[in-house]
Parts: sequence; structure tokens; C-alpha cells
Amino acid sequence: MNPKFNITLKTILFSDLLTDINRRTIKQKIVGILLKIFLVSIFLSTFQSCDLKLDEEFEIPGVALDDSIVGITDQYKFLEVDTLYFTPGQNMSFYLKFKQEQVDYYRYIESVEFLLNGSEFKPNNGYNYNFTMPDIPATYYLTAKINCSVRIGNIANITGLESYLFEKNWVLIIYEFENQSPSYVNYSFVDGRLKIEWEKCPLPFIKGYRFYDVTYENNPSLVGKTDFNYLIDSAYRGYSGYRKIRAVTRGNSEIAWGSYSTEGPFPQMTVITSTDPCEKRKVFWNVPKYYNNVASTQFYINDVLYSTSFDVYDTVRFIDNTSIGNTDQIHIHFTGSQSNNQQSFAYSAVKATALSGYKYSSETYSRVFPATDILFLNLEQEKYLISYLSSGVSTGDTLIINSFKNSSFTTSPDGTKFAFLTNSGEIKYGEVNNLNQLITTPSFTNSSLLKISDNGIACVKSGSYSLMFYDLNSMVSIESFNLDTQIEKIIDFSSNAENFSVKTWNTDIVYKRINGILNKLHEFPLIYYSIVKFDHLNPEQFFYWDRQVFSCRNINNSEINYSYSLIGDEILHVDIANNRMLVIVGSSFRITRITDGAILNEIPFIGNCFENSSILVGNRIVFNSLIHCF
Amino acid sequence: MRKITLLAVITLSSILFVNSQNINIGLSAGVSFPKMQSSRSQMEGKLKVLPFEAKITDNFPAWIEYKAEYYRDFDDYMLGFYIVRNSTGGRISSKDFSANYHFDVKMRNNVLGFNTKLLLDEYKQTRFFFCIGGGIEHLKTDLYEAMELLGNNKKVVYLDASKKKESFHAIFGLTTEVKLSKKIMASAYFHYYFSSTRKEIASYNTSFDYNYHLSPKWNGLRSGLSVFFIFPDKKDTQ
Repeated sequence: MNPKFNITLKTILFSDLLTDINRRTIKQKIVGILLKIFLVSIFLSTFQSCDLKLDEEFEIPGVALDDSIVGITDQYKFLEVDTLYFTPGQNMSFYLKFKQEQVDYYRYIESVEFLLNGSEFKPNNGYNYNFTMPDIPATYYLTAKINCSVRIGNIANITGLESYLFEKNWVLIIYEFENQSPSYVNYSFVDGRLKIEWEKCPLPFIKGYRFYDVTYENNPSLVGKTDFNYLIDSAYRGYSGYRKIRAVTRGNSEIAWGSYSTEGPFPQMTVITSTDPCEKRKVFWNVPKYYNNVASTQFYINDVLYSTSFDVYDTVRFIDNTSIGNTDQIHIHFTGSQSNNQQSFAYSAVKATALSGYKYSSETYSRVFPATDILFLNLEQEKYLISYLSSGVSTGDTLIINSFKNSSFTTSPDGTKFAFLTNSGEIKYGEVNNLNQLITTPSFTNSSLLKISDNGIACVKSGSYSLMFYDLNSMVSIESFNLDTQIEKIIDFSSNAENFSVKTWNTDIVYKRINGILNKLHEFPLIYYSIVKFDHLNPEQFFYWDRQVFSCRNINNSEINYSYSLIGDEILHVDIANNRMLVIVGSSFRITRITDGAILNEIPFIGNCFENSSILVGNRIVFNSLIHCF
Repeated sequence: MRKITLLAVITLSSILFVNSQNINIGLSAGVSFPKMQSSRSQMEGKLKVLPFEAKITDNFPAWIEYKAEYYRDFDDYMLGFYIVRNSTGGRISSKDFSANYHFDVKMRNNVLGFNTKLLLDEYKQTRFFFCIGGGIEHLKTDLYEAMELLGNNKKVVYLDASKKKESFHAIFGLTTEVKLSKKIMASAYFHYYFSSTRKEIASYNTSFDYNYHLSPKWNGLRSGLSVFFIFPDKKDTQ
């Protein structure tokens, strides 16, 4: 054996040491045996038992173990401060709540332990916790130890041992405060408005006051709030009946601070209605101006559909004072709805109600609009007013129809033709300049979507992916295609009926129809207000816009020829022949130039205009089902 | 049992005073392959009753065997004794944000036995032996089942028990020795281990009403490598 290796092995294995131990064993038996036993013991002491592997973990989303999610709350909101102010003996009614921020599961409070200055106490526990403050003014420390669970199938929950402990601390400052009512509460009318004034609460940490209607003692409702020791109450909310004033501390806790009781009389609001037939649907109120500390006044308008039972629909429009501004009047224009029985497409009656504080001022009146009118707005006859034609009077501008399926009215790209569906499923087609001649499909089509071009009608059958084309002259089906997706809406098709734009649930698609085959040309991700419309004068381009950008694109590759910003304007109609568009901008109609967006004319307008509800036809704006008065 | 153990220790100790050619002291490390079939099926049964997702992360695997040996070498045979320590264990485990669950079974087997090696063949510095031996075994099993609740830092211990048992064992097998120098020898062994413990030695009621039957069966193969230090006997050194 290699001597070097031998030496190394000897050194590593303590061979020399062991030999020495053996010699000692021989010379001194007992000592040697003990040394051997010692040697074996050292070896045995290094034994390792079988190690068990690490824990197996399962991915279950964890709970946020952060005490900032615990809030003490009163009836209205979280008290997000850590310091709460009270007076001796004051009752604190509260409950604890977890904020549901950024978690999709609910945390259940299983039990709560309360500590006041480190000593456990038990507040009365009903729906809320009720705790009466100590009689000795001082600073106290309130602690809540909350055990909660999440119950989402985690191990601890399954085994019935789930409990997460949150500890939340608050400082309670109890102030000496004997006089718990103001020495005066006055009210008066100032400029037609009610002013309530009271003595300030002398506590140093009061940030404002709240008023409660205590008609129901256990469930007081907030009727007003102010940061000052007075309230200018245009809405008379704090006026009528018995009210309690409560001072609000910086910690959002409340201290009782007086009460008052008053009764009318107080000024009624004025409702002005016009007797003009056109303005039957316009109503306005005189509205007091608002002060910053007055609870909002709200106006409700109900549309009432004509029916034998006069069912009142729920509130269909709500106007907050924030949308009115500092105006003395509110003007409201009504839009129509379709009745349940599908027999009328214009609304039939209106009830208007304004609610101010606790007092209603309402005017109810009705006017029936027959379901058979198609009405036109003439821009030429009177500056910007309508050419209003009542039903039953045939003047060449009114079409009386017997059956009309709501939202089915469609017009051709040049605005000279229109078509609509009857309730029984026929397609009717006519020309704007000759309303008395309607052409009807020979059979029921069961169509739901409809679009008319210069030489044909496209429709989609209800509940299917089938796209069909009808010849305008014969109203006979000439082509049918089965698509791979359901069409939500037919947006447009070119004048030669070769190109179609449709909207599905997630895309805008441009199809090209050649020799009985439908090809997908372009597909745009859906933007909520996006529209694809073809240029029927130049088949090589089409328009694509949403509420932000208007663009003109090449039909073959969708490259942009020109574009400009719309900044939220809504395009109602593109009149390609006259290079202009009908746009609604805020409370105005606007006529703009297609090629550069320049403003050609602007018409004040108040009301609602919906997508495709209005188009330009010559100098007229044609509405397909809704009427707008000015 | 104590008397038998004492008798065995005295008998084995007498080997310390027998005259021979050489004294061999060996230290071994090997692997034991205990069968533990019953223990494994018990773990699987326990896993099935758990109402939450869990896994058997250890199921009585083969583990390191430590051995210390003392032999008197008479050329054609050897007489000696050995001390062996085996261990193995099983664990069912589960953990999520709410709790950490363990069910642990840890087993140790300390063995003291007398061994005889009979020379079968010799080739240069290499000798082949047939081994046969037997002695006592001391079994210790720890069972621990607990749920650590992470939401409030509390721990629920369902079971914390320990069981000891003594019994007998026997081994037989082959051993090969190669002399590396006058004082050092390497050895390899391949044995089969028989334990007299065959029946259930205890029963424990664990969580979710599962009755865990403890029946450690250490029968199985043993193999490993040893290093022997050779010391000339008294007569030769004088």
C-alpha cells in the first residue's frame, strides 16, 4: 500500500489513537475497556433517526391578518379614527365590522372580548353593542379581541377549530360635560328659506351637527347635517315635525344636543306647465338655490304608461341637485316608452313629481300619442322647431301604421328609404317622400334585426345565426348565409349591398358578399360606442368611430385615410351625400363636416337622443320613434 | 425480559476476555428495509378518514442503519457482538393559511446481539463469511397528532403517546472482508433480519375516531459497509 495513503488513512481514521487505546487495554484492562465503551458511545450518539419530510402545503388564499380591516361602526359608517370622544355616562351604541376590501370572501365574527384599561367587560349585546361610558372623566383604552372565521373550506374551518384573532385598540376620551342641551334653538325664514340656529356645544372636539327624525325612536333617520351651529334649510328637511340635534365629535361619535319641534306653514314649490300641445311634455319647477350645508333635494319623474290599470312604473329618472346647479328652475323633457302590449310605441301619459324635503309638489297630466305616428322634425320651417303632425291628419309627412315593432325602424344610408317590422313579423318598406306606399314581405320573416340599403334589406332571424337578404322591389328572399357567430346588431351595409358591418358581443365585423359567399374583411375589438359605416359614394372606404375618434379607412386593408378626435361627442347620423354629420354634444345638436369635423351649425336641444334614433334627411331630422320638443 | 437481557449482556461481555488472533472493532453504516406493511396500511386508513385534503409525506421508508461491532478473530471463524440502531417513520401532513396538521409515527429499534461468522472461502486478502446471530431488540414508537392553528397561535394535540417493547431477533446472511492494511479492514454485509414481534402491540384512538393499531414489524433486509480496526490480541503484543 502506498505509504502516503497509509499515513493519510491512519490520520483520518484515528488509527494511531485506537492503537494507543488498545495498548492501554492490554496493560490496564479496566481503563482500556472503558475507553472502548466510550469510543462506541461517541459513535452511537451521532445516530440520526429517520427524518420526516416537510409539510405538504395546499394553496388556499389566505386571509388578511391585519387589524386595519376592523372598524367600529355606528349606523352609518365606519369610525375610522383611533380616538373616540364621549361624555360621562353617555351611551355608545356600536358594532364591529370587517371591511370587505380586496377580498372575495366574508369574514364572520365568532366572538368578541372587550377590555377597558386591560380589564374585561361585557357590553350589552343585542343587535348592536351598547356600552355606557364611565362616570369619571379620563382617558380610557378600549380593546376588542375579535375571533373570526372565513368558512371557505380551510382545514381549521373543516375541523371546527377556525379562529383568527384580531386585536383592535381605541382611545376613549371622556370629557366632563354636565349641560347636555343648548340654551336656545331658534328657527326663522330668511329669503324664503328656513334657518335653524342653536347654541354651540361647548365641547372642544365637536366638528358638526346632525339632525334626526325620531318618529321611530329605535330607528332615527338622518335628515340634515351641518358644520356650523345653524342650518339654512331650503328643502325644509329639518323643519317639519320633531327633530333631535346631535353634536358630532371628531371621532364621528355623537352627543345628544337638544331638540325642537315645529310645524308649517311653509312655501309650496310652484309647478308651471304649458298648455301648448307640444309642450305638454315639458314641465319645470321653481327651485330654491342651495346652500352647502343642505341635504340634497331630489326630483323624481315617473312615466306612466297608458293602460287600463294605469300602472305606474318605478322611478324612471332621477335628477339630483348636483346635475341642476344653481338654477332657479328645472326643465324636464320626457321620453317615451313602449307599452307591454306592444300596441303603442310612443309613450302615452306622464306623471311628474318633484320631491323637496318632505313636501311633494306634483302635477299629473296625460296625453295619449297614438302608436301609429312617424314624425319628422323640419329644420327649415322654423329655425329649429319641429314640424309636429298630430295623428290622423294626413299631410304627406305623417305615416299611419297599424303595427310597429319597437326599435325595428331603419333607414337607408341616404335616408330616403325606411323599413320596419310589424308585431306579427312582416317587413314593411317605404320611401320617406312617399309615405303612402308601403311594401310588405309576402310572408312572416320572424326577423329580429333589420337594415335597409338602396337596393335590398338584410335581416337576421330571431335566435339564429342566419343572415338573410330581401330584394326591395319584390320583397322576396334572395340570399341566406349561416354565420359562425350570433349577430347583436346589423350596423350598416354598402349601397351595392356587398359590404356589411355587424356587431357581435365582442367584435365589430366587416363582411364582403361576393357571388353568394360571405367573406370576413375586418374584425375590430368591440368598443362600446364603436360603429362601422360604409361610404356609399366611395366603395373603397368606410368610416369607423367611437366616442373618442372618428376615422375614414380603406376598405381593403383598414388603413386610416384621415381621422380626428370627437372628445365624447355622439354621432347620430352621417350624411355622406352632403359631407356632414348630425352630432349631439351635451345639450345641443351639432351639424359637422365629415372630412374634418368642422362645426357647420349648432341647435340647442334638451332631451334624450339615442343611437340611430335620429338622422338627417335633407334639411330635416327624422326621428324613428321618439319625439323631441323644444 | 430483564433477566434475559442481563444474561445476554454477561454472555456477550465474556467475549471480551476470550483469547484470539485479533480483535476487530467495526463501525458500520447501512440501509435497513423494514417491511412495516401493517403500519403502512394504518397510515392509509388514517388518511381516508381525514375530512380535509392531506397527503402521506412519509410512509416508513428505508433508512440508515448504524452498527457497532466487536469480534474476536480465530481465522476460520469469528465470535462477537453488535449494537444496531434502526429508525423509520410515517407522516400525514396538511397545511394551509389556517392550520398545520401532522400525524407522525416515529419508530426506533435498538438491537444488541451475538454474532458468529463462519469462513466460507478466502482469496488473497478477501474472506467470505456466513453469519448467523441473534439477541434482543428494544422497540420504541412515538405517536404524535396535532393541529397548529395559525390564526391564533394555538395548538390542539389529539395524541401524544409513546410505546416501548422488548423482544428477540435473529439475523443471517453473508459478510465479505477485505484487509486494507495490518490495522484496517473493510467489510460489506447483506443480512436478513427476523423479529419476534409480529402482533399488534398497542391501539390508539386518534382524531376523527380512527383506531390506530401499532404493530411494528422490522423484518427485512439489511445491508451496509463497515470499517474494522484490527488490534492484535494480548499474546501477540507481548
